[in-house]
Amino acid sequence: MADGTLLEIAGLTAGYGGGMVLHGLDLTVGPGEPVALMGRNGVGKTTLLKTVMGLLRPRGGTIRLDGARIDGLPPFRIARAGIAYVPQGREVFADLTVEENLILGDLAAADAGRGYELFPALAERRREPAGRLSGGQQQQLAIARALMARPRLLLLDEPSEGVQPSVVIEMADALAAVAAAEGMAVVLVEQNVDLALRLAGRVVFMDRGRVVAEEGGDALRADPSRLDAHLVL
Amino acid sequence: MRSWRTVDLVGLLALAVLLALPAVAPSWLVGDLAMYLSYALLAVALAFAWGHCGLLSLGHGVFFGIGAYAMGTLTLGMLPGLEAVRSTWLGLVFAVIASGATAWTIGWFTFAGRGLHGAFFGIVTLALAVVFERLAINWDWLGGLNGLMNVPPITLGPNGDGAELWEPVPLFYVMLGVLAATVAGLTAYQRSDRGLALAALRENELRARALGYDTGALKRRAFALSGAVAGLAGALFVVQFGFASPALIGFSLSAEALIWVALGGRGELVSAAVGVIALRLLDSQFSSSLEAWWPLVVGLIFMAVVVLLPRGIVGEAVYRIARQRGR
Amino acid sequence: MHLATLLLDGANAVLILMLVALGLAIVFGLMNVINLAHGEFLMLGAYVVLAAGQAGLPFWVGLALAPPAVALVGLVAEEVLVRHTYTRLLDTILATWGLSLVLRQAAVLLYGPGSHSVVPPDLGAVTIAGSPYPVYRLVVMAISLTAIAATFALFFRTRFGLAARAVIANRAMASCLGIDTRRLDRWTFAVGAGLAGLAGAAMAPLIAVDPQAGLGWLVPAFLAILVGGLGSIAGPLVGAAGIGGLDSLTAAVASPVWAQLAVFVAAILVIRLRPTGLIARRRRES
Repeated sequence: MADGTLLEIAGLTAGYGGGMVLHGLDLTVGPGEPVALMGRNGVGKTTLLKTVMGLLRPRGGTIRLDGARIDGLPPFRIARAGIAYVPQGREVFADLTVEENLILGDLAAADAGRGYELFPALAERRREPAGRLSGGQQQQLAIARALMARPRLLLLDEPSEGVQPSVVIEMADALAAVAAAEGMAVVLVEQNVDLALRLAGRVVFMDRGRVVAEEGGDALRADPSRLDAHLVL
Repeated sequence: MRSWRTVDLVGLLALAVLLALPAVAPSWLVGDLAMYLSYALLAVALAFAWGHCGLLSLGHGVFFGIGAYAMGTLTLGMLPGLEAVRSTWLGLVFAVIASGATAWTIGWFTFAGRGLHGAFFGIVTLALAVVFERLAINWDWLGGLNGLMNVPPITLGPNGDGAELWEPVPLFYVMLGVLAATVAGLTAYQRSDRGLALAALRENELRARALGYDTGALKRRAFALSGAVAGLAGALFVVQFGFASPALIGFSLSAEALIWVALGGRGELVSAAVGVIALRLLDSQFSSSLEAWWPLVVGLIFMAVVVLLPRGIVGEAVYRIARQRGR
Repeated sequence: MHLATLLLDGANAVLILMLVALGLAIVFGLMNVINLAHGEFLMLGAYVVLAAGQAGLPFWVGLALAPPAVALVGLVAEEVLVRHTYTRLLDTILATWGLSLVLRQAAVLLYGPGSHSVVPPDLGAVTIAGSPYPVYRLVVMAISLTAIAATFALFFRTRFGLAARAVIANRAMASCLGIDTRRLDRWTFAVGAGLAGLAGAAMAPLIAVDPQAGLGWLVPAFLAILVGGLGSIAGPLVGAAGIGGLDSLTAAVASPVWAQLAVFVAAILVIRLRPTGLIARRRRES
């Protein structure tokens, strides 16, 4: 396997019950590469992340991480292989404390220090149940929890949802810093164009369960109108 | 031409076999079978509550036992103020009302509001069985541990007089008639609008409530109906057996009924009824030769069926045939 | 009976019931499995002590062997039977019900249907508030308290417990964080079985050891977790205190039958008035 590929998805078909949402999707992500996934509602972005994470079983196609098949593995094996997941709606453990949430990101960690370095505001509330945090802080917690185990690939689903714009920027910068320093790849599903463009080196557009186009991040930042052309498909 | 459902054909076939049986079977077997038919009635009651309405009862023996004791106390002239009343017919009415009302009351306590989680309803009924058994053992008026002895057989007269029904063959046909009528009646009820509402409720109670059904009242009524049928079974058992004991009302019969229904198939009343008769026949065959190993074998088969054949053995067979026929 | 003795016996019953209910509750909380064979795990614990005694081993060796032995039975049962029914809640009841029948019948085959007695270790008696009280019963209370405290420490002071609480709250998310939920299920079931085994072993000298020994504990333990409320670990303890206390008290002033009836009626009233239990807590359905 070439050094240039971390995640390689080929011909992926997946969905819920009888209905398929992904129809033969292909996507590759390089090591340390930040990719944004865009497209209208219902084109299968969240389904793609869930399938990569093992929460949905693919009906066809392959998913490889560093050349090794991970499709069909249970989520915990995929997590241990180096993929972390921040789901839509964050899903922090509301009744557990901030610190406990962070430790759950890496049960082998000596302490939750890594999480607090990333988002120092969490340290002040370490003993509080996560359910009492604001939406933005819960999002920070979910991201910090995902980063505890030093993943090679982070799957992020709509992190800006319900979060103040100023906090979104702060989160994006913190994430970009970690990704650059540790060579962590990111697959970001995002409707918020500012956030997507701030983070992504490449933007992939999806429609009806497939990848239909892609653009370099620099080209889009230079000419944001190109974005509209893809999204008004 | 109207095409029949497989399960109805199986039911008619079983009925035909049973109708013809007294012509070839020895009379002791016919007598045993008459008694098994009252167990089948209990299994049908449980399959209705559990399979059709999703109300898993681990204490259905309670209603069977109440029916038996009700029949016994009345026909033995034990009811205070009603000592002169000895009618089998009133005994049947008393048994059905007492057991149905008990089931309704249990439903009133457990189905209120959001109600108990289906599984915990099962636990409450299990507790009920344990409590009622203890109660029967310690209630001297009901004969305590010994139970009620010498319960009279069915008498055809209006008040315990007239001809007695104890010959195996007529008893068998009476029992068969009651069972067939009950299965037919409950099946028709299951396929009626209200029965379909109950099935919808079993699948998704929240949705049924959103559609405007008073699910608590529906479940209460269905459980009362099931309890009444179990009470009828108990009453018809005791007039054959002549003896009502605490074992009928408690844990062990409840457990057995559950096994019959799970092995036969809870999805269809006919499967449950066929299952219990087959199992009782096997039971009389093997319980003496295998002794204590037999319950172990039954337990293992039961576990295997729960895991591998949730439709039950008869139910799975019916399902496969139905799929072949496309009906 | 002397008041002090009465209270101590009541405390004894409550503590054992707490231990039994706790095992049931952690298995249900984590795995959503209603384990009707829990009473039989208790019964097995008592038989382990009996068997150890018959093999000439000292009582305390039997007591120490019982929890791991029963936990092992639980581990096997989980692997062979219970895990195949996880997605069907009502079927977990049936499967464990079948297991309970098989375990009871196995006890009949090995030791006969009759009851056996285990001689309690001779620890003498102490005088408490003017009446003598057997030391062994005090030891049973200490064992229960220690085991309850240890279970709490396991769930609230260790990483295993943290992972378990995460699975209780949100199984899918916990799995996405790298927690092997299968392994956790297996060990939780074993711990639950072990707790029941310990309760049975400690109670063995105080009860008639027979195949039906577990049944009498199963129903009160379930009523305790129904009354106390599910989804929290404190609920079953509160429920057990209520159920066990009421039972002992009524049994002392009236009779065991009235006690059973009173407990059942009280439990069903609580269920009617507060269907989520006394210590209600939100549970995430996921």
